[in-house]
Amino acid sequence: MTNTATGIIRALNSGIKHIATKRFTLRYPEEKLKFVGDGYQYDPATGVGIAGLKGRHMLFHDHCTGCQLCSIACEGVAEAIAMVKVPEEQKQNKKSIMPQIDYGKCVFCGLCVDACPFYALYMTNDYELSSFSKEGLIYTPAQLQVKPYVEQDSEIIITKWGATHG
Amino acid sequence: MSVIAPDFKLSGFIKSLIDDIVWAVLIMSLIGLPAIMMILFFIPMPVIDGELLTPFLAFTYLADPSRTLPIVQAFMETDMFKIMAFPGFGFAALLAAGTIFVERKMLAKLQLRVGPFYCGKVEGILQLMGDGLKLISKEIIIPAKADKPIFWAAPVLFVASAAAFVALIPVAPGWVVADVDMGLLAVFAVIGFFPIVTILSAWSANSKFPFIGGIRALFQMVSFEIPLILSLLGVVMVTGTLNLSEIAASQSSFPWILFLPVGAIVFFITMLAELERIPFDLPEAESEIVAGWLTELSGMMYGLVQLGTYLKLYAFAALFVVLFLGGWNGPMIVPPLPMEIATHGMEMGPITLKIGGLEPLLTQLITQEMLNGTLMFVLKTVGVIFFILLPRGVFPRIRVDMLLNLGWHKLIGLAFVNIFIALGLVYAGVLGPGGLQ
Amino acid sequence: MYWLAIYGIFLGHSTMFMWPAGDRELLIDLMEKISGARVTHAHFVPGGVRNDLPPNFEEVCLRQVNYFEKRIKEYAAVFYDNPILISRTENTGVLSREDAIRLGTTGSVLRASGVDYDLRIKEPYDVYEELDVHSPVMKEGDSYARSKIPWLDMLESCNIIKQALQKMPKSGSVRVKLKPNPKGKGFDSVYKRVESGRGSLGCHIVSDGKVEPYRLKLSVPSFRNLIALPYLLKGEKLGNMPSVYWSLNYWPVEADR
Repeated sequence: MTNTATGIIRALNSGIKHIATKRFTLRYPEEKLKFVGDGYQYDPATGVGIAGLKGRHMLFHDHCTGCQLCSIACEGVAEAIAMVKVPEEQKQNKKSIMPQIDYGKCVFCGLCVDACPFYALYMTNDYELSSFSKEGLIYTPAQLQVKPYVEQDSEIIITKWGATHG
Repeated sequence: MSVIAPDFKLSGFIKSLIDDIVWAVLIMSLIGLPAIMMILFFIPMPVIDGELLTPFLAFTYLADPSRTLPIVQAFMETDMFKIMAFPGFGFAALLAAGTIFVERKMLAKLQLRVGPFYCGKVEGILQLMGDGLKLISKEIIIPAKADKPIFWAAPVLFVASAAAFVALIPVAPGWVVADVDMGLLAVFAVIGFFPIVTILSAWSANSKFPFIGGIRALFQMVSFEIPLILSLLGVVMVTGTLNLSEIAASQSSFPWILFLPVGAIVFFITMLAELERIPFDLPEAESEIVAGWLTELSGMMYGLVQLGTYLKLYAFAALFVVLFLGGWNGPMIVPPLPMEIATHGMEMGPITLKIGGLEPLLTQLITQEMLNGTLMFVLKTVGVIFFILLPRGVFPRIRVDMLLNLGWHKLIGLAFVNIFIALGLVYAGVLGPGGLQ
Repeated sequence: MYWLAIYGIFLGHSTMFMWPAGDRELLIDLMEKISGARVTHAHFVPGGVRNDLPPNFEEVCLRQVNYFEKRIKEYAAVFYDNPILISRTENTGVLSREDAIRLGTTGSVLRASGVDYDLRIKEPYDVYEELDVHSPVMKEGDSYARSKIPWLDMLESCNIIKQALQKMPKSGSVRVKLKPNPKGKGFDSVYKRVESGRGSLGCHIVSDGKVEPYRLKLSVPSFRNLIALPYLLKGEKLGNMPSVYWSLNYWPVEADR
């Protein structure tokens, strides 16, 4: 009987203590999370990746040779990369084809980045990729070239009164 | 509201103007005039300065603002004011609305999240108003096979019985809506009415979730009524009266919780069960049955039921305060009202401003004791409501057979222990008419 | 952690839903810093892991893991010592020791019935020989024990993480380039188990000599533990169903594998 009573009082006590703890929620549209680094990248020389968020891809037009290795790597996973012809002329890209990524199918696994041997395909921190139509989700090589501006301002802060996103 | 406004046409404008005028004249003549007639016939007109206050005299008084105070005082002494505004519906509804908001915010803070946040500019204060507007604007859907008269009447009956409960509670000395001599017995009668309304609402909805919820509500409320009544008998024995105002007045030196703590605990637990709060929220178990007996109510019917539930919460907490914590008694916090303004008037330079009618108002109606009593009552009620809201975040739901075991075995036993303690105190001469008062 | 949240809310305890779901954010944040994705990591590849830790990771990780440990110790007051929870889950769905072994349950269900079997200790793989691992065992085998063992496991994991952070070498390669698969002859199969959060996760590969595997099957602890459900529910009250069902440490998404 006393066990029950002390159990109840301890629970109520813990409840009251938590009223004084800080709130943990991240108020999303006004505050956005910070990221470490610049996005997931892969170094074919050492064979090891560099840590970062796997967000939208970024294609460097002056490095891509149109070898289709990224498209072949994706075929086993999601079939989201197709090669399309680009109008510009690049010295190293004889066939003038570059990857076009369909974000409706992409699972953001990063195997395409691992497959590219020419330092051309990286991933960035951009994660807000919604659009109003399915066609709007297919990013052409020109769109993939743009480096995104990602707002980041808050991270988890652990204080004496609890953890917050601030 | 993205409606494309039509182009402006003068004929349309004049037509709508005439429409409005016709409606206004119609309503005033068909409804307004009889209403004025009824007010003139049935409400007794106060006598001010030897003249009967007719509406014409009231209009002449409005020319001199300082003479409206007797009108205000006369209005505050009527029964209508007591029912609608001060210790009755307005006061209770204000506290109930505050309770809903505080509950959501406090529960959110306890769970380390933000409660309503975006509605008002400051931490979501206008959320309740937004919710009320939303509920009013929703369509009321009635199940096809439901029993329509009873289904429509059930939420109204629910609010009516909750309001009847609120009407019996004394807030300050002399301020109670219904000063019944057997007040506590009337409270028991009204409490016994709640399961009936619940089962009516659940049964008439003719669908499985309300059915299960209603049956659970029925046996939860019924099985906790007996410990409720028994736990209050201790207080009755010690004070010797059933009148709630007298019980509150008899605690002028010490509250009864010091002598009858077991009864207070039993009453608190049965109060949580009668209000269907967690840990006893089986009738409304959100993860097992969809919403219990509230499932089929939508729109303003749901709004009425929520209002009734929170009025019930306020009334039970107020009952706890009146019976166990001392009602309106407490140290005098409110400073004494400035009586010189009433008798001699305020001095502003060369002019002495005399406000007629202030003196009877301050000595008879809004006295220092009344303000102090109301303040202590509100503080104590808020404290009790905090302790009712707290278990919601801390305890899981209790199982059905454990609930019945609690209600029929353990709580009745504890209530009887409380009665024996009370009897012992009375016969030993410690309390009651023989000993300490 | 998400399982613990669902367990709480099915018993009617809404706070126990919010707290684990929020504290899980601390861990997911760490996973995102390591691997780049919050839940679907794709971090382990044949040959090692895909990328190295980001700079300055150690102190962030230590700080968050310490705070996480403090937070889950507070669950005891609200959930595990709560008399209403104890009276609701004690002695319900009792799984005896022989039944647990016979039905082939793994992980926390097995350890809650008194069988001390943890793959990290019995068949150590990776670096578990160098780390000091204790696995909690409870003898009762009822729902309360089954819901408490994952919590004790989590406290243990915090310890393991801290030890691993201390003992981790500061430099070295994280990924080894493997030779391509050799072509063999005939059928051959291999079955290897690891201890995941819920029990033993096994991987069975059958190959018939070609480069790609012929059959690949993952044996998931959630699915294996589910076989105990019909045996446990016999003779139980209907009100005990949520507490028994969810206490089997069952996560539907994982069982679908």
